[in-house]
Amino acid sequence: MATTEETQKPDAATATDEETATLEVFRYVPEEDDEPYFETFEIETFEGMTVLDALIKIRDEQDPSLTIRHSCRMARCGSDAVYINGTQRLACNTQVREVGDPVKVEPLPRFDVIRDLVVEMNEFYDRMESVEPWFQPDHEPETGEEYLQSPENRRNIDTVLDCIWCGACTSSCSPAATDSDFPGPAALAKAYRFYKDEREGEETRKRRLEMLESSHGIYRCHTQFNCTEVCPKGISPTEAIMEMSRDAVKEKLRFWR
Amino acid sequence: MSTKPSKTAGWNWFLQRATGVALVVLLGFHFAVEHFIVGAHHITAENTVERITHGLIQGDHVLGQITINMPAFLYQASAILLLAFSIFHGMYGVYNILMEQDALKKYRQPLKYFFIVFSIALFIQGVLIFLAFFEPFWEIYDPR
Ligand code: FES
Repeated sequence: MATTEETQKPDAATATDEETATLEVFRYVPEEDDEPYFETFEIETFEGMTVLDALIKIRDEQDPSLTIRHSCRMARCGSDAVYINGTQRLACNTQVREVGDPVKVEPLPRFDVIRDLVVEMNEFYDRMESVEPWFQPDHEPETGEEYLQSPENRRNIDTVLDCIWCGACTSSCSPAATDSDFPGPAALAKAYRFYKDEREGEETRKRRLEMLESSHGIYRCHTQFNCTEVCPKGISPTEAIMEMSRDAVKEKLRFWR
Repeated sequence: MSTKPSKTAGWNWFLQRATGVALVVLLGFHFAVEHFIVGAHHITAENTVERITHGLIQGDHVLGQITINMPAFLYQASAILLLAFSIFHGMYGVYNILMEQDALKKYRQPLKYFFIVFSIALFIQGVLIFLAFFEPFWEIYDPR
């Protein structure tokens, strides 16, 4: 016998559940269009339908030329960050019925558009690379030993480890928009991940801090928390940057050492 | 990222924040005195001289009739610090915003020296006005 819960379970395919939504989608092919424009699509939605589902449905059923980058569809790969109703979000992690009607979908602001919702990510990857986001231990462990990390130290970097390089935070950051030498929030959060890792050792930690203290480094953060607000993984790059800035200044204040 | 190490960026960042906090206090005091105790419409040369030279704050405005006789040096220090901190905080803030524009980075040196010289000139101007309230210096600065 079916339980009450089972009988009440919503079925995505039932007609009663269906509603329509309007999507206003940014369209632009730089080689063909004089300027970008918005195209309006009406689609039938279902409970739990994501903006990515909607865009794929449009591509499959209405306009096969609509271009969007996506892969995992589960907020893990970071490839489908777009600008939905004025906020940087992952299309696969945003439900159509949550964001209001119409749903306006644009590419990530401050990134160059390759086609429709697909943006050029190379400049973002260069920023990420500028903070040397790889493990650089001061010393090799003894033969047969491992690089050991204490559970407390691991917990310290837990908060920033979830970054999926989607670029949402960097797109939302105003200093990153105007200052190409500023690594931006994603890169600095990644720098924090290594800066805090005790396995690298004191020498590397100091070198990293010195590098981040460059004239267009950590001190450029305006503490606006835009990056923190839009991060789909709940990371707060602002807090990581502020912690590094405070550490750097504290080291300067201890000038007698 | 520009990896050119900076010896001053950290200190400047710290000073920008420290002066920001200090300005909240100093501007709060300034507004309380000028706008809530004395009242902008009731500021005269005489009562300004009283405040600056004797620390005597008197008024009958938003907060009712109030008389505060604070040590003169405290009032004078608050005025000079307000002048210095607001110049540093404002000028360094604007300089930084300009330096965050890629198109302006090539003018970094001239802009830096312009802001340093302009800030010092503003501070000297402010100090001259301040000194003009004290008798031996009356002649230094005469806005007429
Ligand atoms: S498709 Fe991978 S994060 Fe959205």
